[in-house]
Amino acid sequence: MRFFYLFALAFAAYWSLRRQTPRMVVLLLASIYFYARWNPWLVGLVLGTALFDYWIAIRIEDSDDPRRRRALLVASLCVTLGLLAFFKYTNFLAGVLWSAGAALGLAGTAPVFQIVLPLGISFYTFETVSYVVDVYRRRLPAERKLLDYSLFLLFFPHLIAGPIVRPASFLPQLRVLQRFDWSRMELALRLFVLGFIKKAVIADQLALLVDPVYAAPGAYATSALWIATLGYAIQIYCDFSGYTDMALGCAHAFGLRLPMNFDVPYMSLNVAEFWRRWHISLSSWLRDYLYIPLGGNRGSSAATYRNLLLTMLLGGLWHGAAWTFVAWGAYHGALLALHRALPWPRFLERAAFAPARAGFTFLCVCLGWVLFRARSLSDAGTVYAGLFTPTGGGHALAPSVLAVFAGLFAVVLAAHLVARFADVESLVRRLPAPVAAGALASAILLAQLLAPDEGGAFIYFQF
Amino acid sequence: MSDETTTDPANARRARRVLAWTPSIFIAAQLAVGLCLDRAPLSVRFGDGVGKLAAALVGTDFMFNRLLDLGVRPKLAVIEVTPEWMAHPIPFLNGQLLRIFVWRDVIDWMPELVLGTRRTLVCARVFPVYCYRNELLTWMTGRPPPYLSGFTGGKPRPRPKPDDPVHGAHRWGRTLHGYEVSARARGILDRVLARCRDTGMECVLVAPPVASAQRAVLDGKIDAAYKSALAGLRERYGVAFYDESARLPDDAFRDSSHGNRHGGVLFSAIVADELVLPRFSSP
Repeated sequence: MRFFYLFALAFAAYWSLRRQTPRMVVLLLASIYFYARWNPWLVGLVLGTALFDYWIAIRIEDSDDPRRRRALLVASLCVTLGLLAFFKYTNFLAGVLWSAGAALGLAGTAPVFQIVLPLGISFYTFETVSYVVDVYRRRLPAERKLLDYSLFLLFFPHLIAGPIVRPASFLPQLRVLQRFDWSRMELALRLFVLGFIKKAVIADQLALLVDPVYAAPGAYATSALWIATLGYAIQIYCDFSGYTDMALGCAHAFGLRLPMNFDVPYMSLNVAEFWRRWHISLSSWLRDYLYIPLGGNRGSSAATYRNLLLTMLLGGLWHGAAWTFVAWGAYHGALLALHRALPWPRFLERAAFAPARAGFTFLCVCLGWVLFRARSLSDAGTVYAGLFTPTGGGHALAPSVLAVFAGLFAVVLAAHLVARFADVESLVRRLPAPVAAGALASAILLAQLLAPDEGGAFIYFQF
Repeated sequence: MSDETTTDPANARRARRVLAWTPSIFIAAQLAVGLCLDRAPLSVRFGDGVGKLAAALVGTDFMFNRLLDLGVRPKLAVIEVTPEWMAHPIPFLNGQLLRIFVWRDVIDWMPELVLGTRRTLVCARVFPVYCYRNELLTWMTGRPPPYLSGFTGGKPRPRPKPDDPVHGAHRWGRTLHGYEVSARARGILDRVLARCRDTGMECVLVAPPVASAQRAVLDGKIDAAYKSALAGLRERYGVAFYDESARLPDDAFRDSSHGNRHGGVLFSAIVADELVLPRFSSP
C-alpha cells in the first residue's frame, strides 16, 4: 500500500512540474525514499556506487591515455564487483574455502557473517558496469549530470528486480521533457494490471502448491513432484514477468520506457531461443559484456562451448550464492552447447513439429527449474529421483487441486498462444472505450477476489 | 503485451475515456457487491460459520442494538467486563463485527468509527470484493480457498504453539500503567445497562477468568479502580457482578488472558451451572 501512496505522490508532483530538472529531482527523491524505507543506511551504498562510477566515467572519457583509461576501468570494476562479491558471496566463498580445507584434512566450521544483502544490488551493479564499460569503449558519452546518472541507477520501478536498464536507452530519455500522453497512461494501467494479475492471481496461488512440495520433496509422490515442477515454471514466469510488467507500467506513467524483459518464453522452439525470450535484459547483458568479450563464437567450437558454459555458469551464480544456482547455470550452459553441437535433422524445422519442439524445450527448462527452486543439491537430487522413478507412495495432489491446476495451466498456455500469434495491442485498441474499461475494471476486481491472504514477496527480490 | 504507444489524437481521446470509465466501473462494482452483501444472509458474509462473533465492550453495544432491532428479547444478558477493556475499550470494527456492519451503521456509529480501525472500515465498505474475497469465493464455489493446496493424506501441519499462561502479562502491565477507567467505556456500559433495564431484561456482569500472571498485573490499584467503577453502575441498575477471574487453573490458558480449549469447556460449565441454570430452573 505504501508503494501506491509513494507512486501517487510522485506521479502528482512529477506531472504538476513544468521543467525537467525538478521532475528528475522528484523521481530521485521518490526513489531514495523507496529504498530507504527498506534500509536507510544501504541507500548510501547505492548512492555511493552511483557517485563513484559517475566520477570515474568522466575521468575515463576525459583521458586519452589508454593505460590510464584501462586502470580507471579496472578500478571501477574492482570496486563495483567487489561490493557485489562482498555483500552477496562472502558466506558462500567462506563455505567453499572451509569445505576445501576440510577435504585437505583441516578441521573447523565455516564462519557465518551477518551481512545484509542490499536489495537490487545484482541489478544495479550490472547497470553501472555496462555504463562504465560503454564509456570506456567510447560507445557512450559520459553522463555529466549527476542527477540523471543517479536516477538511471535508482529509478524505483526497476531498482529492485530490473529489468537491467542500458544507459544508452535510458539516459537520453531523462534529457527530454516528457508530455502527458493519455495513450501512454492507458498502457501504463494495462501493464500494471496485467502484472498484478500475474503476480496475485497466478504466482502467489501456485506458491501454495509448490512451496510445501519443495520444502520436503521426499514426502511426495511422483505425480505431485511433476505438478509442482510444472507449477513452479509457471509461478516464476508469472512472478518475474508480473513484476516487470508492473515496473514497465510505472515507468510509462512517468513517460519513461524500460526495456522488455520477456517475450512469451515458453513458446521457444529451442533453448537458445528461450534465452532470447526469458529475462532478456540479463541474457543480452551477459551476451554483450561477458560472452562476446570472452570470444563468443569467433573461435573454435570448443572455445564457443567453453564461452557458453562459462557465461551461463556466471549467469547462474549472479542469481544467488548457492551451488544450486551454479548447477542451474551449468545445466543451461550445457543445453546451449548441446543445442549448438548436435546436428538437428532439417525436417524438425517444419511447422508441424513446432509444438513438439516447444514442448520439449519447455520440459528441458522445467527440469532446470528444479535446480533453481530446490533448497539444496541434495533436495534437487530427491526431486529428480522422484520425477523419474515413479512411486505411488507419498502425498499426491487432491483431484480438485489437479483440476484447478489444469485450468490454470490451460489459461497460461492460451495467453502464451494469443501473445505469440495475435496482435494483442491492435485488438485492444479496437475495443470501444467502455468495453476496454469494463475489461480493465473486471481484471482488477478479479485480482482482488483471487489474491491470497498472504502474498509472498517477488522471487527475484532475493537476487 | 507490446509497450508501443501512439500519438494519434483519436487514440488519445479513446485512452482518456478508458481511464475515466475504468475507476467508475470499478467503484460501481465494488459498491454494488457491498450492497448485495449487506442484504445477503449472514452465512454468506461469514463464509465458514457464524459462530465467530467475538466482541469487546463496543462490540457488545453494537450487537445488542442489532439484536433489539431484530426484535430479539433475551431473558438474560451476560456482559463480560474486564479491567483491560474498562481502561482501553477496543476501537470499533475489530474482527468479525465488521461482517454485520452495513452502510446505515456508518452514520450511527461515526464517533466510534473515527476512533476505530478506519482502514478496516474503508476496506469493508469501499473494497468489499477484496475484504470479503474468501467469503465470496466460499459462497461461489461451495468451499473455502485456497484451491491450489491440498494433498491426499493431508499436508504435514505446523505444530501449534504451546500454551504459555504468562505470555502477554508483561505487555498488559505496561499498557495498564497509570490505570484509569475510561469515560468512554463507562458511557458504553451505562448505555447497555440502561437499555437492558428499559426492555426488562435481566443483566449480569462477569469478570472472565485470567491466568495468575495476569491477576498479578491486575491486583491492587487496578482492581480497586475497576471494581469501584463497576460498583457505581451496579448500584444504579441493580445488576449482579460475578468475579470469575480466579476460577480456572493456569493450565486452562493459552496466554495470560485467553483460555485454551480445556479452559473454554470449564468456563462454559461454570457459566451454565452458576449463572444461567439457576435463573431458568423452576422454583
